[in-house]
Amino acid sequence: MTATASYAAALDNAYGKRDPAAVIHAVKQVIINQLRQVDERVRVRTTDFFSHSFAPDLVLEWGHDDVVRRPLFVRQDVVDDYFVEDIAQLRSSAPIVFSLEATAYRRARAERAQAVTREANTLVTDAAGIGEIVEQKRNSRVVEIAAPSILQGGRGILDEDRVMTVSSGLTRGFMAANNLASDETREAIGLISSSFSPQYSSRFVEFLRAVWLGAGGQMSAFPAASHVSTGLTDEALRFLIDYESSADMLYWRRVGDGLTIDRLANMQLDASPNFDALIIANLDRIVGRSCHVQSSQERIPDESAGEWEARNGVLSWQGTSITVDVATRKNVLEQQSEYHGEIALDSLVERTRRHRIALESLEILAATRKISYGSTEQSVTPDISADEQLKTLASSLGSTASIAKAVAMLPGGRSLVCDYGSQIASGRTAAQFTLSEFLRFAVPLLEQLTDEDLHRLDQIIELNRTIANPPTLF
Amino acid sequence: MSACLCSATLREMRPGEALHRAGEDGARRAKRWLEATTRVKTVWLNTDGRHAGRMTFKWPHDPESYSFDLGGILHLGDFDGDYFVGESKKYGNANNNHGAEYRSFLAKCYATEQFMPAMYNHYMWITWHPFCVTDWSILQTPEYVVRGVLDEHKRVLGCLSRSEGEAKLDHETITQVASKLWMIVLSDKQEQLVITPENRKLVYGQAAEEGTL
Repeated sequence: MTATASYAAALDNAYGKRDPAAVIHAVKQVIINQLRQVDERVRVRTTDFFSHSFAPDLVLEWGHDDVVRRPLFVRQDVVDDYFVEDIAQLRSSAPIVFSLEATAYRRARAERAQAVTREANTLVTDAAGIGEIVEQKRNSRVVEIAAPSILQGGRGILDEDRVMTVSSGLTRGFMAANNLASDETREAIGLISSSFSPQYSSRFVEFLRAVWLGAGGQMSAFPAASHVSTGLTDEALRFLIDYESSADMLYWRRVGDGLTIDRLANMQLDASPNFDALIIANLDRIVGRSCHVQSSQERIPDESAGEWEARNGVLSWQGTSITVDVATRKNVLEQQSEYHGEIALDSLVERTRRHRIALESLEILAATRKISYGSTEQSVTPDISADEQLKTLASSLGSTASIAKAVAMLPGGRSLVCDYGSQIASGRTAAQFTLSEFLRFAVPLLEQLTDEDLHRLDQIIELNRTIANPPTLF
Repeated sequence: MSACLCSATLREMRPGEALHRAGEDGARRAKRWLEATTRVKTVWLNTDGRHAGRMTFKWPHDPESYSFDLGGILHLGDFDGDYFVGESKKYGNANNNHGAEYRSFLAKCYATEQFMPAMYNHYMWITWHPFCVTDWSILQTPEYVVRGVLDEHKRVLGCLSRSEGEAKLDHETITQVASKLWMIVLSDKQEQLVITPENRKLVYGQAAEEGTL
């Protein structure tokens, strides 16, 4: 049974009920079932009203903090004689009008009806239109992503034919932006503007811009003005992450300009291969002030799940046996840090040797005493990790001695303080470090890495280096 | 015994009112006014494809059918959830055989009440023009309902004469119909004297946000 035939049968069944209230309930349920196929995240509230001139039959809602709400009015059919009057009554709520019977406009009036509904930011659709969106979702990732927006901000008459036109136009538009084809991209922007209310249309244009930018296009050459001065909107970035999986690191490098941990964390991004690619491609650009490292329960790596996620002010990497959290504010990490303890000097020296990390100074704990060990040389700070005196000192202090803090020397003369009490690495002042630096220096100093995690970190850093410093001829 | 007709049958039959453009306009205006009282959950018109069958009935003693122009469910207060059906007459003058139509409506209400005694709580006559002014004060009395039913004695009671029909009357049903009658007289200006779109938005918009609609 086709979707349309199935809908018609469900509607017949609903109208077969004797009690009018039961009819209303059943008809609304048929519509709700249709809407859920378009967007399973939509919450639908039914009202006491049915086919009322100005009280909606259903209220559609999305989100929790910032709730997007759109009323839906059921109509038996959308008869053109009364159409304009009806739309005028409803326009202030920019609703969806769902026609129980197929929308059918006499050819001469179709254009006028389209213009009126678009101008009123009202979406008029029917079962066949909704069914076609569901069908097109199966065929196109773009339509799949756009489907909730059609319910939230679509406008105009979206019957079966029009859904096909809009769907293929959206798909072509994204392909055009990916191929940097100006004319076709412009054409898609025109289609988007007419099919979505200004707010949603602007979002889709930003998505197209994101694809354009990722494909290597210049911002200035994109065939539409932007309301953002530089870079991409959060929504456009999220769109790219949710969009088809792309392992093209150069693509993620192009769209990663201006990324910050706070911005990513505000977006509450779950782990995914695309998000991994975005972070890795921009490992040398994303900066933080503190990095917390702790061992975690061993897990089996799952490439399809992704390793990076961002939420609650923290960008996190999940290895097989460790978790690395990076934040722009130290207190965010301190809140989740448990006292870890200290490390024996010989273990630390082994880590510095294994990972080729130079140490600037140490803070040694010996029973109830604290010893600072560092160089007195002013002009040049030497690596003290291999000092013979240090070995002698450690040996004389015996097993009671441990390291509370180790200060690593980073390229450019910056200092990274690794505190074993909190397992947090940060600068002496408000210094910022790139994710590459945290992964390269802080992580191996703060935690004993398994071969799997070490190999993966090396791989991540190398991937970033390749993309950040492409080989040149000269 | 009358029977509810399915919409497919109705589409074949096309009873007069369904095709009558002026009548349709009146029914739509009646619907709009009822909705503007904020006291209806839904108003169905017999011009709305699938709903038409629900308001179309077969005369008990005639192969033809009759229909009401509109029906629906009332909202809030003492009438909350009550079902109603009604006729609307968007007449601009007194030359429309208005009284005879009203009496025929009473006969339809009687037939419907006998067929489905507990179904409808209200029978509404909505008109834009007064009629039978000399009888105005008795138009909703049981006596006038009797007159309406007897006017249709053939189709409702299956009798050849009024006197024969009188013996067949179900006075319990007559009383019920009379108690459920509404006489609503509208005027073009009065249609405007309803809740404004701004206030309507306040009421329904707020309720929609609070989830109390």
